Amino acid sequence: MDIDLDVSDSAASLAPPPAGIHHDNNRHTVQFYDDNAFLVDCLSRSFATALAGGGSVVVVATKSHRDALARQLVTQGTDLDLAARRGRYLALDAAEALGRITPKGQLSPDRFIDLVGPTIDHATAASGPQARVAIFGELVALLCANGEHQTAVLLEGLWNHLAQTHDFALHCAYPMRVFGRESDGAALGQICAAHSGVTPAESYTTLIDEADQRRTIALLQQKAHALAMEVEARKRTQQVLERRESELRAALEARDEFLADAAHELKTPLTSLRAFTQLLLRDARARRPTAPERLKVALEAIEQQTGRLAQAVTTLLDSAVKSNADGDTSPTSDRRR
Amino acid sequence: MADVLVIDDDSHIRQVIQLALEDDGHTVESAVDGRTALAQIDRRHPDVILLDIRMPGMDGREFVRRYRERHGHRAPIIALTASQDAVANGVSIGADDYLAKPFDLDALAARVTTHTPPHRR
Repeated sequence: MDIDLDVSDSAASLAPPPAGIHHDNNRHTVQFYDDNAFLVDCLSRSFATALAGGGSVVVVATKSHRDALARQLVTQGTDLDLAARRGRYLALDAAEALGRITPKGQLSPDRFIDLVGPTIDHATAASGPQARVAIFGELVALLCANGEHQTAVLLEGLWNHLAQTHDFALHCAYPMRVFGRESDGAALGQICAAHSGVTPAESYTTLIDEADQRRTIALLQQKAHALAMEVEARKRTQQVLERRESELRAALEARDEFLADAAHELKTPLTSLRAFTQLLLRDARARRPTAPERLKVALEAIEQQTGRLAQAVTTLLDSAVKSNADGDTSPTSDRRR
Repeated sequence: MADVLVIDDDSHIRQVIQLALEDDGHTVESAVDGRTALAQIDRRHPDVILLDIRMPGMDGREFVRRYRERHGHRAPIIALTASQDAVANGVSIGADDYLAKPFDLDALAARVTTHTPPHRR
C-alpha cells in the first residue's frame, strides 16, 4: 500500500468492489448502465481501492464523468492531488483523445498505440511493485453515441491487442441508450465478445437475490418477445403505408395526366376559335372586305372547332358524373380522350 | 420580314397562324410534326420556329433536342403550349420563348417580330 494515500479510514476502502469490476481476474471488462450516478459510484469505489492498494489509475472519460469521479473520490477520502502529482492518477479527456486517434475520421491503430502505450507505461512506473494499472475508458462509448458502433468494436480489439504488451485492467462503460435501435444488437454482441467480463445495466445488477434475478430475466424475456412482435407489426404497417403511398402517387400522376389531357382537348379548339375570330375582326376593324375563300376557311374552322369543343366538354362532364357515381376521385384512363 | 416555320399537328392552328403572319408580310411554312419539320429545315432554314409541344410522332421536346444537336441556337424557338403551367413547360423543353394557348394574334405577331433577326425586320 502506498503510504502517501491515506484512505484507510474511508468507507470506500471498506466497501467490496462493485459487481463487474474485478481487476485481478478480468483484464478487460465492460459495464452497461442507465444512470451516470451509478457508473460514477462503481468507478469511485473500485479506483479508491486500487489507489489505496498502491496501483495507478488512468481515466479516459468525458469532462462530466471525470469531474464527478474526482469529487466522489475526494469525498470518500482519497488524496487525489497527491495521487496526480505522483503520476498515479491520470485523467484524459475522451473527446480530445478520440480526435487524436481518429485523424480524418478514421481510427488509426498507430496513433492509438502512440497515445495510450506511453500513458500506461508512465502509470505502471508510478505504481507500487505488485499493483496493476486500472483504466476506465469511454472512447468506445463516445463512438457509439456518434453511431459509429463498428469503429467502437475495432477500438475494443485495439485495447486487447495492447494488452499483449502492457499489463493493465481496463474497464469500459456504455450507456444503454447508445444501443437504442434494434440493429444495434449485433454491435452489442460483438462488444460483449471483446471483453472477458460483462456486467448488465444496474436494473439487473442491483438485484441481490437470485430468485429476483430469475424473475427479472423472465420479465426481460417477455419484454424482448413483445418488442420483437411490435417490431414485426410495425414493419407490416410500414409496408401497408408504403403500398398506399405508391398507390396515392400513381393516382396523383393519373390526375396530372388527366388534367394535361383535358387542357389540351379544351385549349386546342379554343386556340383556333379565338385566332380565326380575331383574324376576321382584324378585317372588319380595318374596314377591308374579307375574301370569300378566307371567310369560308375561317367559318368552317370555327364551326368544326365549336363541335370539337362541345364534344370535349360533354366527355369531361360525363367522366365527372361517372367518377362521382363510382365514389372514385381519381380519374382513370378510360375517361380520358 | 421573317421566314417562319409553324410546327403543329392541328391543321386549323397551322392555317390561322399562316394567314395571320402572311397578313403581316412574313413568309410561312408549316409541318405536322418534329420529324417533318427537321427535314424541311434541312432544305430551308427559317428565321423563327413556332413549335407545338404535344404532337403525335416526334413531339416538341424531342424536336428541340434534335434541332439543338444539329443547328444549336441558329433560329429562336417559340413554344406554343396548352399546359396549365405554360412557363415551366415552355422552359423545360429548352425553347427560347413560349406562348400559352389560346393566344391572341397580336401577341403572336409581337413575339415573332421580337425574335426576328434585326437584318430581316
